[in-house]
Amino acid sequence: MAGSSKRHLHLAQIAFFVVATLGALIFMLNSTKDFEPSEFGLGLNTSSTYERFEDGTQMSSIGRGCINLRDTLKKSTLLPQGKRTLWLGASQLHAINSMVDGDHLAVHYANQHLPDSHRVFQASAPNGNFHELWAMWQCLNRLPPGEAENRERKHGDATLNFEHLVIALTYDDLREVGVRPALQKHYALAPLHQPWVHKAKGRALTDSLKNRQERFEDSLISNIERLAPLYKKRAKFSAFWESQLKLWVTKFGYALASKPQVRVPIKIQKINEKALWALVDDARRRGIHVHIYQAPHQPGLKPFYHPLAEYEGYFQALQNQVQKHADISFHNLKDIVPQHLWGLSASGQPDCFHFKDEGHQILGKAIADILSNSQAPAQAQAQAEAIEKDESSAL
Amino acid sequence: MLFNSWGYILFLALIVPSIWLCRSALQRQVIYSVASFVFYAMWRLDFALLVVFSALVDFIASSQIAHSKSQRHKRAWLGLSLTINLGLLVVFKYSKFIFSNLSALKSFLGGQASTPLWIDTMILPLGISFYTFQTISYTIDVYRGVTKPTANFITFLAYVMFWPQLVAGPILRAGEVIPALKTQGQFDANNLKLGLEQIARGLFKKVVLADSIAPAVERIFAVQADYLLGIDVWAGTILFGFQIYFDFSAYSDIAIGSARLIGFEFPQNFNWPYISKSPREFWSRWHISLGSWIRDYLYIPLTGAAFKSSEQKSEGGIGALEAKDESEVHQNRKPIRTTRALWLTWIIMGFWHGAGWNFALWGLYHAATILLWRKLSLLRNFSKEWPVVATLCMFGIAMLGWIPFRADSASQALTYFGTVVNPLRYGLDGHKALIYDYALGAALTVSMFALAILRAQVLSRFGRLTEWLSPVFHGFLFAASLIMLQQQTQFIYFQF
Repeated sequence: MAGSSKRHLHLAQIAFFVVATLGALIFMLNSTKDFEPSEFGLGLNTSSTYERFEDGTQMSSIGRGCINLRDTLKKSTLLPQGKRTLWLGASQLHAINSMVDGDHLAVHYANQHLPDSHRVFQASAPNGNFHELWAMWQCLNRLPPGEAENRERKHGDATLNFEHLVIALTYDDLREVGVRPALQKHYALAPLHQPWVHKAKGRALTDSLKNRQERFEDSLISNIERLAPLYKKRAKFSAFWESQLKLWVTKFGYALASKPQVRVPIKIQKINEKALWALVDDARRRGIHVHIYQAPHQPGLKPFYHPLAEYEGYFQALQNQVQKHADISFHNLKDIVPQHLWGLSASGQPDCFHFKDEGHQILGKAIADILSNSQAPAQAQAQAEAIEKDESSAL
Repeated sequence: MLFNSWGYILFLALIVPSIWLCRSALQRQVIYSVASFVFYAMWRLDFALLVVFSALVDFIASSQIAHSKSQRHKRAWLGLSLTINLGLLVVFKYSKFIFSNLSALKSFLGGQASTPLWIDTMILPLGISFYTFQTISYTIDVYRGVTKPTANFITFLAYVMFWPQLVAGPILRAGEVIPALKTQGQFDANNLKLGLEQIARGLFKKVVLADSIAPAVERIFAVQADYLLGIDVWAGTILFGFQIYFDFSAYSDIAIGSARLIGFEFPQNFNWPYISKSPREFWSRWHISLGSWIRDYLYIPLTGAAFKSSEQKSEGGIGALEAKDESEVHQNRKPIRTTRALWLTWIIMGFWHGAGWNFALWGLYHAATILLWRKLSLLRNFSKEWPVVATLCMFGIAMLGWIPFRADSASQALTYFGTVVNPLRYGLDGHKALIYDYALGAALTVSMFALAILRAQVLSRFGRLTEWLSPVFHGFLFAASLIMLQQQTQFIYFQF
C-alpha cells in the first residue's frame, strides 16, 4: 500500500515537472517575443528610426537596409541636375533619445537647411566600424555584376553619382573591425573578396560541411518550429537574458570600478584606419568631396569616456593627415550638442553617443552648413594647386 | 551524439520506453548495445567500430586470463590487452605530440625538422581516454581476481558502450555496471523523476551557464598573453574554472540522469568542488571517478602498497587516498617512494587530459599543492581552525590551477603565472573594456558561495515543501535549456 502511494506521489511529481516545463516554455517565449535586441543596445529610452522625403523617397537606412537605399537611389530619376550627398556613420545618426512624435534625425534637418536641389541620404550601422562603413559604401557604389553593366549601358556610369561624402567618425567604434555576418551577406563586399554566392548554393555548401548529427538536428528543429511556431522566437529569449545579464553584471562591475575609461586597442584602430582611407581614396578617385567630422560626444564627462590624451591625439593626427588633401575636409563637432540633450546607456551610465531631437537639429544644421560652404572638388583641387604653386615660387 | 541536442531528447524518448518494455535482460542488453552504437555512430561510424574492436580485444583477453592456469599465460594476455588499448590511445592521442617533440629535438640537434603529413589529419576518437581506461580496468580486475569475466559478449559490449558514460565518463568499474545490466531496466517512477531532474540540471549547467561564460573566457584568452594584467588573468582563470566545472559536471549529470531513467544508480562525479578547504578535499569532490581510477590502478601500484579488492570502487576520488596517506597506504613505505609515485601519477594524469606540456605542468602544479599539504602540518591545522579562510584560499589555488589547462602551451601558462605573481602587473587602468568579464567572474564566485550556504543552511529545513517545489524548479531549468538550445557546442571534456 505504501509502495503504491509512493508510486502515485512520484507520478504526480513527474506530471508537475512536465507541466512546469511546458508552462515555463510558453511563458518564457511569450514574455520576450517583442524584445528588440538592437533597441536595447541603444540605451535607455533611445529608439532608432528612419527618415523619408516628403515624396516618400527613402532618406536613411540602418544596417542591411542599405540595400534598399541603393535600390531607391538606383531607380531614382530625381534631381537630374541636383546634388547628392551620402552621409555614413554609426548609431548616433539613426537613434533619438526620448523620442516623441515629430522628432527627426539629423539627416532630416540637414535636408531642411539645404536647397531642394541638394539631397542628403544617410546609411548607418549600429556600432559601425570603418569596415562596415566601407561595406555600405561598396553596397551603394559598386552594383552587383550584371546590374553594374546594365547601368553602365543605360547611363554610362555604374556608380550612383554622389557629389559629397560625409563620414561621422566615432572613436569608440574603432574598437572593432570586420563586417558582421548579418551585414556581410547583404552587401557587395569587393574589398573583402567575398564571392557572389547564390543563397541556395551558399546554404548547400554550409550544409555539406555539417556532420550527420548536425544535419539531423537541423531537420528536427525545423520540424519543431513548424509544429510550434512560437519556438522560432527563442532567439529573442536568449538575447533578452543575455542583455539583462550584461546589463546587471556591468552595473555591478561599474559599482566596483566606477570610473571606467574605454581604451581603443591601437592595432585594431590601425586596421580600421586602413578601411577609412580605402573608403576616402575610392571616393576621391570618383571626384567626390569628402567631409570627415569628429562625431559629437557627451561633453563634461569626468573622467572622459576614453583616455582623453589618446582620444584627442587620434583626432589631431587625423586632422593633420586630412589637411594634406584639398578635396577632404575635417570638422570638429565634438562639443556641439550640449550636455542636457544626452540620455543614459542601457547599463545606467551616461550615454556618450545618442542624444535628443534638439541634438539632431544642431548636428543637421552643422552638416548642412559644411555642405553649403564646401567647394566643388574640382574647384578645391584648383585652389590647392594654386596655393602649392605660390608656395613653391615663394621659395 | 551530443547530450545537449534535440536529437538526444528524441533518442531518450525512443530508447528508454523500449528498454522498459523488454521482458528479458538479454533483450535489454541488445538494446543497450545497439542504441549505444547508434549514439556513437551519429558522429563517426568508423570510430564506433573501433570501440567494438577495443571491447572485443578485452573480452577475449579477459576470458583467456580467467581460464588460464599458468601465471605466465595470464600475464601475456594482460600484456596484449594493455598493449593494444594503450597503443590505440598513443597512436590517436599522442602521436602528434611525440612527433612534434622529436622533430623539435632533431631541429635542436641541427637536423631538419619534419613531421609526417598524416599526423595533421588524424582525428581523435571521442571518449577514447575514457573507454580505454574502462576496458583496461576490467581486464586488470579479472587478472587480479576482483571480477569474474562475463561469458556473454553482448553483456560486455553493453558495459563498454553503455551510452550514458561512453564519451566522457564517469569511468565505472565492471563490478558497478555489469550486475546492474542484468537486473535493472524496469520502469520505476522514482528513478524516472530523479533522472529527469538530473538531466534538467545538467542541461541547464551546459546550455545556459557554461555556454554563456564561454565567450567571456574566449575574449580574455584571445588577448596576447603578455598584454594581460594580473586582474585579467585572474578573471580569465576564474571564469574558465566555472566554465569547465559547469560543462563537465553537466555532462556527468546528464549521463547519470540518463542511466537513472532505466534504474542505474551511478555514483556522483562532482560534489561542489570549489567549496573545498584543502587539495585533499578538492580531489575527493572533482571528477571523482577518474581520481578513483588513478588511485586504484596507478598510484597505489606505484607506491608498492598491497592491493585490496574491497577498495575497487569509483568513489571517493583520489582525495580518498590522500585521507589514508598517513596510515594504510604509506605504512612501511619509504617516503621517497610515495613522493615519486605522487609526482608520476600527476604527470600521467596531466597527459591523460591532453597531449601537451601545459597539461604536464597542470599535473605538476597539483602534485606540488598536495605535497605541500602533506608535508606541512601547519596547512592542515589552518584548514581546521580557519575553515572559511581556508575555503577561499583553496578556491584561489584551484582556480589558478586552470591556467595551464586553458593555456595553449606551457610557455604561455608560465607567462600567465608570471603575470599573476608580479605585483607590478596589477594596475586598474588597463583593460577596462573587460569590466563585464571581471564582474561576471566576481558575480559567479559570490553566487556560488551564497548558493552553497543556502543549500546547507536553508533548503534542508523545507524537506516536504522542496519535494513539490523540486519538479517545478527543474521544469523551469529544463524549459530554459530547451530555449537556449540554439547551437550545438561540444563539451570541453570530449577532447580528452
